[in-house]
Amino acid sequence: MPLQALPLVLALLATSVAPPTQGQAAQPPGPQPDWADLNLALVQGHLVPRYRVLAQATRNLAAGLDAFCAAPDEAGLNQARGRFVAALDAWNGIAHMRFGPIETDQRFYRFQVWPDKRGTGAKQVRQLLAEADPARLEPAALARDSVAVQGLSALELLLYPHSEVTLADFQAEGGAGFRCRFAAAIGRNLAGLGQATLADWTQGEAPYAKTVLEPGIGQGRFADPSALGTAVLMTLNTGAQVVHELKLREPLGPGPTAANPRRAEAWRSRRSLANVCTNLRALGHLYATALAPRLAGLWLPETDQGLALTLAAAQSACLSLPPEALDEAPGPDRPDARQALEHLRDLAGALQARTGKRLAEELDLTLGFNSLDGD
Amino acid sequence: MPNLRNQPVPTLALTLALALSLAGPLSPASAAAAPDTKAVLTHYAVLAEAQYGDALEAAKALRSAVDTLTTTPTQVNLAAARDAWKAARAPYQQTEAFRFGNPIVDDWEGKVNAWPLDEGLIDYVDAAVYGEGNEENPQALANLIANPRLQVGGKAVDASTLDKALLAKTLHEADGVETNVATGYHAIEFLLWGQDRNGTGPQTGSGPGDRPASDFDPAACTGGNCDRRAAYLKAATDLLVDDLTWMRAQWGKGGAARKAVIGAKPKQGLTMILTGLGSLSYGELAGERMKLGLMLHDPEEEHDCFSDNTHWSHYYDALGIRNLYLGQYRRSDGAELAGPSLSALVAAKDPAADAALRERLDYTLSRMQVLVDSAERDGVAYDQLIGAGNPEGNAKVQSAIDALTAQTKAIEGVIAALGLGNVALEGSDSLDAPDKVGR
Repeated sequence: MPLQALPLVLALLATSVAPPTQGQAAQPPGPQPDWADLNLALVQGHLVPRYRVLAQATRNLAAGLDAFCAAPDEAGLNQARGRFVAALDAWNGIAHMRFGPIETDQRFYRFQVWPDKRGTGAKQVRQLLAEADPARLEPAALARDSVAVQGLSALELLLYPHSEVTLADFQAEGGAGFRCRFAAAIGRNLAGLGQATLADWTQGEAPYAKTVLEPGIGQGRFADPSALGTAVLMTLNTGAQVVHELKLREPLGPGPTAANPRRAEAWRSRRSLANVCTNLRALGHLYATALAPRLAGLWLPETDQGLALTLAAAQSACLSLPPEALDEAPGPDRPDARQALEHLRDLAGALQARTGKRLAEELDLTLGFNSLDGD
Repeated sequence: MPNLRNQPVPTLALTLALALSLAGPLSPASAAAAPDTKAVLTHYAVLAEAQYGDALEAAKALRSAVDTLTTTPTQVNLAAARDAWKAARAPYQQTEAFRFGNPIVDDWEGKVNAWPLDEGLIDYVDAAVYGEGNEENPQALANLIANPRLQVGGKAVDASTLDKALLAKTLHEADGVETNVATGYHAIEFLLWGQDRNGTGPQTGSGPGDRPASDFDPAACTGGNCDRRAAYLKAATDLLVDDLTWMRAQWGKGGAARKAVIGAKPKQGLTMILTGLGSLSYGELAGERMKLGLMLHDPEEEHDCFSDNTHWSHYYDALGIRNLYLGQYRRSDGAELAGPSLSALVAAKDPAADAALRERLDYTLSRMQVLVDSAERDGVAYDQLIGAGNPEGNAKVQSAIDALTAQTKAIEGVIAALGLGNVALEGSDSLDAPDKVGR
């Protein structure tokens, strides 16, 4: 092409390309949410406090395991288990968040690997126990090892089930055995992860909270203030999907004879249902704090009411069940218990549907692909 | 997820490239070049028929090689069967880009490519590699080849004859457990190679499984039950041919899958295509098949873990995604198919979105090529690349994962450009409701 033709071509380009670009950039009609306000509520009201709780709970866990292993006794084991449960609760209170500092260095998966369809984590933990090589418990080595041997899932395998794991498993001649030292190393690893995640949100020259709250600076991911709204909606939707499809539908199976309690998330510590209740409460809090008040008037009142009612009904259904109901994943022999769990599953399914595409459309947001797409 | 309505203006280089293409004597203005949506959807179905046809022919060649092996179990014939399996993977993996957008494909896929598997369901395993079973799966150590009787779902099953019906109807996904994979490419792969017991280390980790041909030789049997193993292999290979025959017919004239795409409303049809590309790129390939393995550093956490063929399987997935966007496919006999493409459709509406995705697709393929080169040229297999203590290898795999993630963002850009934002995919278990039970 001769060079002098360029201006003409660029002019042609302007006419052929510009209109659709302008069309896309045009604001949709109707009121726009105050995204900056919403972002502040999300960060200050929901995320940072919950990561603070996680940092504290994992620090307590590490201290508890260290104390237990200094002189293993029954009281120490009970306390360590209690602190594990507290850390698991804290994690489930914020595990729906999959973006931000929790993505750094694969922290999300280092906290927990689940589901684990082939039992790879259990296999690797048993291999590490059998190998009993202290070098693998060094902080840097453990952090680089398989994610399945350094987080909550691995620690649960070391501490539970009650019926199989006893004090003697943690003892050796003259003090703590390898299992105890392994557990304590995981505790320290988790405390480090909890601290680092909180610090990345709140401290340093460019805390992540600032990136989120001051659109246009930093990483560009949230340069458009509505991008965070999209991320929150996806968080809510994916959180509901995890509860519905993985935590409830998998152990219950398609019918009573197909129930499989070994697919419940925390059957060893018998915390599977407690985790679900904590997840639902956390999603309710995310909705009530960071979405509902600020989106009022932007969506149809019945959308808001429907979502709020579903969230409340799911939480209440969860809390009304016996605490170990899901770990037992009742089959045909206990139709009432099963029916109650199926009701909870269906409410979680309704929550997933209500936070999906229709809602995104009402808010003029677009849900993208998520990491659970695929099989 | 960034809001893609507000995209940056195209870079100057891109603008100039576009200007050149617009000004070329053979290039009409972009709007005029846009193909009709119906033509794009029709061509997509034509590509599907060709691709499943190639996968079927390669599976028939595999069946023939398996027949030779079971009739005359020599190392040479075992090697030939393994080569035929690898050759069969190339066209099949490219078809995976159809899967998530087409319920007919997605509902069927578990029969032929279910993964991961608890291979102890099928045959003997080495506990040092396999562990002591899988607590979620009561059949993880069932060893069908050694055990003609077993319990499934509390009922006694007579497995004295290992035939197609038993594998497909009773044993596959037994007890509702997805990792009970009794049929498909990976069951066949396990029978041809056996477990890869080499770990992930730099020296010890090289090499695939090393099952001897005598495992199929009743006259000089190793591993026990050689006649049953041979029968299993033949039944599984026959089933694969049956299943691919069925799928190709779904894409032929009058086939249900073809009708579903061509008969869809334009936005629905385009959403089907893009759902397939995005879900395979991100959740399935980048996530389930690559990222998880990289984080677990486990030799069984690679897609083709028995044959060490994973690099090619991932490469052909990426190629298949690119093909469907560009509306092209190179058949097994070398013939090139090309026609009205989604790319051209997007280019007419939003050249920047089209260019961004094409660039991303090319880049992903180049990252997959790095994995292929590592295995084929440098002798470092995929399971060694994901090993603990191999930061360079890990980085190569991570780079491919990052490329797929960026590619997914570009696919979302194309979805926005076509105004398909929240078009619901009827009857699909992808995008916002992946159905994990009874795929």
